[in-house]
Amino acid sequence: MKTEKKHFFAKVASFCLCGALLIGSVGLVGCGQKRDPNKVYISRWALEWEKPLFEAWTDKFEEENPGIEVEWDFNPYTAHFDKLRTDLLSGEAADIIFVNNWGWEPYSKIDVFEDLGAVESLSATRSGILDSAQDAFRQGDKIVGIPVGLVSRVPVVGTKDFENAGIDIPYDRETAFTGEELANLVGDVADSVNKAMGINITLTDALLTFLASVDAPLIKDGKIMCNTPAGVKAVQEFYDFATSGRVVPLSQSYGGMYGTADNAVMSGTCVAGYTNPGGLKSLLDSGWDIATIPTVKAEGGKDVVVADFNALVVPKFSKVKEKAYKVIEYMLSQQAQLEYAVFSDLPVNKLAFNEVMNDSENWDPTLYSAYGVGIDNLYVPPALSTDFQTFLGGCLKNLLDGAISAEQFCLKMEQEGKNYI
Amino acid sequence: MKKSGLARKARIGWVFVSPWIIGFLLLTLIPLLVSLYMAFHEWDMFSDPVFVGLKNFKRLLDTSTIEGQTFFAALSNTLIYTFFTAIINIVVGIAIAWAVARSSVINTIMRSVIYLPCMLIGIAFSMMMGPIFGSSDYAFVNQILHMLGLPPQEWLFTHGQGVWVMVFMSFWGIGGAMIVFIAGIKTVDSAVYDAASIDGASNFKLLTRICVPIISPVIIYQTIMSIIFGMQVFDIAVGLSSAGGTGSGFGMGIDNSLATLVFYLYNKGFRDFEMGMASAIGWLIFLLTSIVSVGLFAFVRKTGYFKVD
Repeated sequence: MKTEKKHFFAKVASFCLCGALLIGSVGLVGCGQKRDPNKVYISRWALEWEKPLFEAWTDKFEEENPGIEVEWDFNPYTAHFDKLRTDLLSGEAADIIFVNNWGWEPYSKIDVFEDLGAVESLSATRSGILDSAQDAFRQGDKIVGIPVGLVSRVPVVGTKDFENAGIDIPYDRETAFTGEELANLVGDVADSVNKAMGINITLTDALLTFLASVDAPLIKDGKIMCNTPAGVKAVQEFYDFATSGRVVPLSQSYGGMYGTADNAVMSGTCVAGYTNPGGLKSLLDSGWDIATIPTVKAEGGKDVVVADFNALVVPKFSKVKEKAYKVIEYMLSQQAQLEYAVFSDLPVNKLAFNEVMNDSENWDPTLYSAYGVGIDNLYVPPALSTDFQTFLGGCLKNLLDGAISAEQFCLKMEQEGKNYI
Repeated sequence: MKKSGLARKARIGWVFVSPWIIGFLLLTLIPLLVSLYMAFHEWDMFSDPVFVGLKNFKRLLDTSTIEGQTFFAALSNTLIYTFFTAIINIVVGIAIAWAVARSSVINTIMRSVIYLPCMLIGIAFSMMMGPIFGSSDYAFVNQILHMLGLPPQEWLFTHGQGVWVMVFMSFWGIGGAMIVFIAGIKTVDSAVYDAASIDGASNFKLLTRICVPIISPVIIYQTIMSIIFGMQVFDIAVGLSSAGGTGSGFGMGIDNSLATLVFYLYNKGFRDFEMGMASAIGWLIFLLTSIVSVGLFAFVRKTGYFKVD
């Protein structure tokens, strides 16, 4: 009898355990953070020190708009874009999402974001930003993203190196350097201060700049445009620049003894790096004395900025779109953009941008003037698929190894590259 | 009475295995079938799937398309990696297992030491390889080449070299194979070795003529597992592309130097949002692995050298 009772209780306990396991595993599925339907959620990547600054940035908006509460959702950079995918699929994404040229590529072909170009209340806001920036996140006839910050890159140098070399830093130069000029400048400094390399520059950016400066952009309006006499000449100049012995080679520009383009100045082996406003602030926070100089272009070409933007998109399923549009309007106002530029990207609001470029009292010209060179000629590279990136990388390597000529590079781009766009 | 007792026991048994069955259905079988369905569609996860028939497979197997070129680059890297890591696992694994199989304090310590690197996560390990196999003149291996008067190499950036870095890294995982082979070696009756020793067999002959044939089922198992894991290599390729700094800018290394089939599947599915193409790649990996495994079993049966019961 006792044994039977023991067996019975054992069975019951086993069944209860099994049931709990099943219910628990099934019941936990679908548990997630519940969103307050009255708040406007904004998702962005941010480092720890940036988070309170972003929150403070929108505090003023909340004071002026008591009916609208803003909540930020921060994630590390890669996690932000991984999470974006699943959040969009599940309908759980924030109401305003930060994207950039790279992270936006997979979404540039799918219909998941609101057409902000059709939103009446944002038309004045859009016309108040830099002209070439207004169409930067176009999807056919729709404008699905509005740039909120300019994150283009320029060469950044350590001021001590130039002082020790007895060479003035040309931070206020009004035009871009040719490849030869820049290579000679950083090379002379490198020789004087005994550094191994002149500049660690993102070579794909440099190539895009050389080509865009002669109106032969790599890709524009869905077409490869570089296979022209001017384009071939520009690629040849790029080759001469990249193989001058003053520029960190392609294979070593992402890490190692020369650091990355963003932190090359810190490596102790390079005179110049190549960074955006965010990278600039990181270097300043690390205590480096730095200045920026204009970027590079083809000889005889126009000054061009290869534009990278951080932008705002609104998912179609957002339930607080009108409130989100008000937040976007605020973020792109002149004053908010100036506040944003203090801790993050350069402003895209025309008035705010001009103020940063011209108000030398509040905005150190040694840091910011260079970003203004070529700003009237923004080249916005399209989002590139991984296949095209692989193809471009291979062609670039072959070019810089001397396996193919500039002419062959441009021809290959035109004949084969179009398949990957 | 007996029958109803058996039926009741069977029902209880089903209840206890039901969590696993439900998990298998929900997390393995159904996704497998969905993936097979998707392989014949174009789907970006946000809009409805569009039926395209065999288009995905055709694009992958046509070397005139970028997908085909990348697929075959990834395939060649994956096959090279799989073949050589299988050989390393078998040959070096058996040799090390034979050396440390006997019970002794030193052998016990050596087994632990050899197995320890297996506990490193692949991604972390491959990121450590950056300073060793980096393209800089000051990378460790390039410094050795410089000392020998040889030119530095772009290990991770040259198609045909990156895969050998991955093959080299497989030595770190030799401990897993060692454990499996030690278990096999210990099942062999020592009387067999004694008898062979009395007949004058050397240590090498004991290994090759006695031990290896007897543990042949273990060898077959380890070979199949090496092939399966080799065909699915992903984490070290991603880690190396990150260590080399090409991951975000240039895809799978420069010129597909670090491309593997699963890495390409990941790029297609989760970076380019082409789930149909990614599913097609997955099913091609499955087919290739199956063909290789079936071929291996057929070879074994035909030769009869390794008896499989």
